[in-house]
This record gives sequence, structure tokens and C-alpha cells, in this order.
Amino acid sequence: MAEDRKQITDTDLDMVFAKARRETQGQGEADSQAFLNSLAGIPDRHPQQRAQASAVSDGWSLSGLIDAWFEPSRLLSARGLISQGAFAAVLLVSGIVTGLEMAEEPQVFDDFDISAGLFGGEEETFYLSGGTDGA
Amino acid sequence: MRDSHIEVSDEQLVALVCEGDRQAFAGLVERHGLRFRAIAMRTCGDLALAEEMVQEAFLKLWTRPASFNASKARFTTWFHRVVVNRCLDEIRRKKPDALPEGFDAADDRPDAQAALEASGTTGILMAALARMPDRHSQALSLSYLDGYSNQEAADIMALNIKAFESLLMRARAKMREELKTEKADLLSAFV
Repeated sequence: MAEDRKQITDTDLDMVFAKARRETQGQGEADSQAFLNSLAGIPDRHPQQRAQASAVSDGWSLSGLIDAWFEPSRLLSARGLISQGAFAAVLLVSGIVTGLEMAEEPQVFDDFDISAGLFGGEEETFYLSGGTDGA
Repeated sequence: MRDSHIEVSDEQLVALVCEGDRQAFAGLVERHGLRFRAIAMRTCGDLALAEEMVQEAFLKLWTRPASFNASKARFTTWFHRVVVNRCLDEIRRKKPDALPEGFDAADDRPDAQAALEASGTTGILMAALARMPDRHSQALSLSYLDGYSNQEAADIMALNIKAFESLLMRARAKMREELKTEKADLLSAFV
């Protein structure tokens, strides 16, 4: 019985913790209020616009865009696969069109000789006997 | 205006802070300012430093509210980590260099103020908490001094709720044992 009286009960423990909590969180009512006021004054001293602007710029950064593109869940989704297929088809078609247009051009040696225009001159210059002047 | 935030959850208030709502920010300060100061105070052991750390944490919350992701954690769990990590960083940063060998050691006996504080109910409780294993002490502090729900405290300690409740039961039993010899002093304040 005497031993029981020595024991700390759950109620005792709760009371002790509640008192300690009040004391540690209160720590001087005036100080506490001043502290809360200084915290509440943060928006006045530090405008948030800068943070919002950087958040917007972060949202549209190149790395962010690339990360979003290559995110596996997006890349392998039905929409992602369809858009990749469409992009490949457009690339293929534009390649074929370009190839067909080039094929229509007359192919002469000068088309491939990139130095053809650099040494332009009279043709007879290259004949010792002047056989081409026809005179 | 303040009353309009009473029924709003912390996470909703942070969403409003993202839109620049100062009243929402003031609501979070009012709800959690003193609680986090007490937590920082217990971590740092220095009221001025604790206030500075909490000030920095709330500043971060105001300028970069998007760093909180409501889908990953509750606000209190996230903010607890922000405050405690900031305190631990600061303690590590301020850790003094080792003194040369043979240097006259400081008198580390408790001064009059500390002795007075330690003699009260809170002092006895804090001393008992300090003697307990870290996990027990942390569980008791989170639940009974910081006022977290069991779920929040379990999240902070990275435990599931059952494991946390079991730990808390053991910690309470251990604490009762620790305080047994000091029952008279402890409860004198309530007589």
C-alpha cells in the first residue's frame, strides 16, 4: 500500500507534462507576444513578389521543361507515345518532300563543285593555242 | 479576419500563403509560433538562438512556400524538420574548436539560476527526460510537450503509428520509474 503511494500515476504524469508544456511554451507572456508579432511582421519586411517571380521562372526553366518531357510516366503514356509517333511521321514526310524536291533539280558537275565559282575566268585562258576563240 | 482561418487546415493556409495571403501567414504564426520556439529552445538550449532559427524558418515559409509539398507530408511534420534541422546545423556550425591541452577548464557547476530552474517541476521533468534513452525522450517530448498527435509524432520519428504508440507506452512507464523518487518534489506544485 505504501509502495502504491510512492508510484507516479498516469494522471500525475499528465499534470506534470501539462505544466511543463505551459511553462516552456509561455516563457514570459510579454516576450511571447513580442516574438509572435515579429514573426507576423515578416511579410512587411520581406515582400513575397521576388519569390513568386522566381517560382514562375523556375516553372518555365529549360531544365524543368526537359525534365517534364523525359519524365517516364509522361513519355510512355498513350498521349506521349502518340505524340512521339506523330513527330516521327512529320519528320519522315518532310524528309521525303525535301528529297523529292532536290531530285527534280538538274544535276550537273558544277552543282557538286563548290569551288566552281571561285576561279571564274575566260575559257580560252586554259588553251595555249587559242583553239576555242573561233577567230 | 483571423477567425476566418480557424477552421482551415495548416495545409490550406500554406496554399493561401503561396498566393501571398498575409492573414493566412499570420494564422500559421499564431498557431505554431510558440510551439516551434519551444521545440527549437529544447534543441538549441538557447532562447535567443531558438527565436532566430524559428524566425528563419518562418521567413523561408513566406518567401518560398512552394518548398512545402502537401502530398508528401503534413505541414507540422515538414516544419518540425525544417526548424530542428536548422537548429542542428547552427549548433554544428557554432561548435567551438577544441582547447589546447592543459587549458583551465571552465567551472561547469550549475549556476544559481540554473539550480533554481532545475528545482521546479519542469526542471525535474527535463532532467528526467535527459536521463532517458533518446527515443523515449523524443517520443514523450513530441507527444506531451510539443502537442503533436500520435500520427504526427510517428511521422516525425519515421515510425508507423502502432510502433510509436508502443514506444510511447514504454517511455511513459520508464518516466514514471525515473520520477518515483522525486514524487513529493514533483507534485508539491499542485498541492
